[in-house]
Amino acid sequence: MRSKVLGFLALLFLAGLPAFLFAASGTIVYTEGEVSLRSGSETRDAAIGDAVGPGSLIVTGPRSLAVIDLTNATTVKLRERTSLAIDSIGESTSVTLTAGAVFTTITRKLTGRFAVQTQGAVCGVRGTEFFVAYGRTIDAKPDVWMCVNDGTVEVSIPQTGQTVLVPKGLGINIVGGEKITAPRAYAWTRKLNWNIDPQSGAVEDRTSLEQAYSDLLDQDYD
Amino acid sequence: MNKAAWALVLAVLAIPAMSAGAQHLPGTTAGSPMPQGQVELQSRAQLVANVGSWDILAELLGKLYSTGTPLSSFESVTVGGYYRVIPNLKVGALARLQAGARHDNDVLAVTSDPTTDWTWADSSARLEGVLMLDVSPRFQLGFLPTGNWVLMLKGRYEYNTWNGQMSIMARPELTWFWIRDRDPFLNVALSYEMYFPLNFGSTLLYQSYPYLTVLWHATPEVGIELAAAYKNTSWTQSDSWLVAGWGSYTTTVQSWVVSLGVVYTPSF
Repeated sequence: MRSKVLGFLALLFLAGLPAFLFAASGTIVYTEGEVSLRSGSETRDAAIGDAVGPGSLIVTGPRSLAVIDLTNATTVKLRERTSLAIDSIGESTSVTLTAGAVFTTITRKLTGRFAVQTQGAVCGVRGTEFFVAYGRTIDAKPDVWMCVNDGTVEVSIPQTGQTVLVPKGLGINIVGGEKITAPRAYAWTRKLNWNIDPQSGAVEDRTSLEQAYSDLLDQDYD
Repeated sequence: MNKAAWALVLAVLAIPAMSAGAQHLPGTTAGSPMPQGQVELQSRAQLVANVGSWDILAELLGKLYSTGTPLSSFESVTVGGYYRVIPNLKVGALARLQAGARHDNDVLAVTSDPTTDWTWADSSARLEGVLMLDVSPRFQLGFLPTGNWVLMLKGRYEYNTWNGQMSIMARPELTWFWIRDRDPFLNVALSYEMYFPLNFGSTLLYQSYPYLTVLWHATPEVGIELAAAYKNTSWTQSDSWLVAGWGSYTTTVQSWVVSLGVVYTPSF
């Protein structure tokens, strides 16, 4: 009898262990190419199964990507040449994108808040799938593009107080990190690869952000 | 002044008058329907749908011009497409159906009416097909202020299936783009369009005109265009003129063209 009680307690402990260990963390669930993980002062090659948490910095190299499962039902896919810092995980989860681009997917009902911060702007999630990316840097001010595949995302610039709700299918540009344009449909966003599950097919997205900009050599009117 | 001097002056004055009479130009008679400086009013609606490297084009164009009463008109429907071979080069093929076009042979000699010597053939209901092949290299002139300048050199071969006339159109065009929030807000283009006839007329240039176009992007996909051109057209004697025995002529007519258009440019 005593051994059965001990066995049940051991089972409970083991079942609760992952939740306990990763309550305020996430896991790298997929990588391609060069992905590094910095935790504290240590930087090393990231591997599938690595835990990430507040203070972690994940960096992808050229033709590389990483998928991170955050414990608050959010999955983030980093494109190539991306740098993403995890600020907090929990009731309020926040990540900061300092370079490159990320796809964010809410896989279950979101508890608490989730936000992607960029230079000057915050994309707060009310939806389930959205994409945030740095575009060109013009006059030393980087553009940030954001588009929503599902749900709604609230984009705000704390410095100016400007807030824009971006619904499904539309996108915005945060011009030089200072001004949010009116939401509209962008043709280039239709080519984005939203898939985050390697079992479902290719995960890599190679959509060029250059398409977000008007090509002056492609303007014909007769 | 002596009589010899007066005779010399009269002779000098008489030479141009005599040569004009010998050339028998249409438009020299009072009430001629080929006046100088008339204004043509044009409007057009155009769709340019971008699908990857392809542009699909459709255009409706109408033009009114005065040759007395009632006004004459020209209408056309153009469809076609461009393919972007490399970033700096597009090639295209287009077809146009038009009514109301005028050619050299539409000048009809009138021998029965003493008040005029010619009239235009009525081409208002005459349908003509025009096939076009287009090549348009373009270059961004980043060294100019703002860097938002594009020089395009458009070349177009045109074949009129109705009368077999062929011509080459060449058009250098310099466009400045006013970019606002990373999107074009206003384009201002200065062009010079030239038509070189290949198998008709007797002049190197059949038609040429400088024109200025301003395109306002009311939305990212809808533009409102206003353009003005000063058109020179060289007319060469018609078959009817030769049959009347009035010899050959080449005369150039100038006119103004004012155009208003709407351009819809969706991307897929």
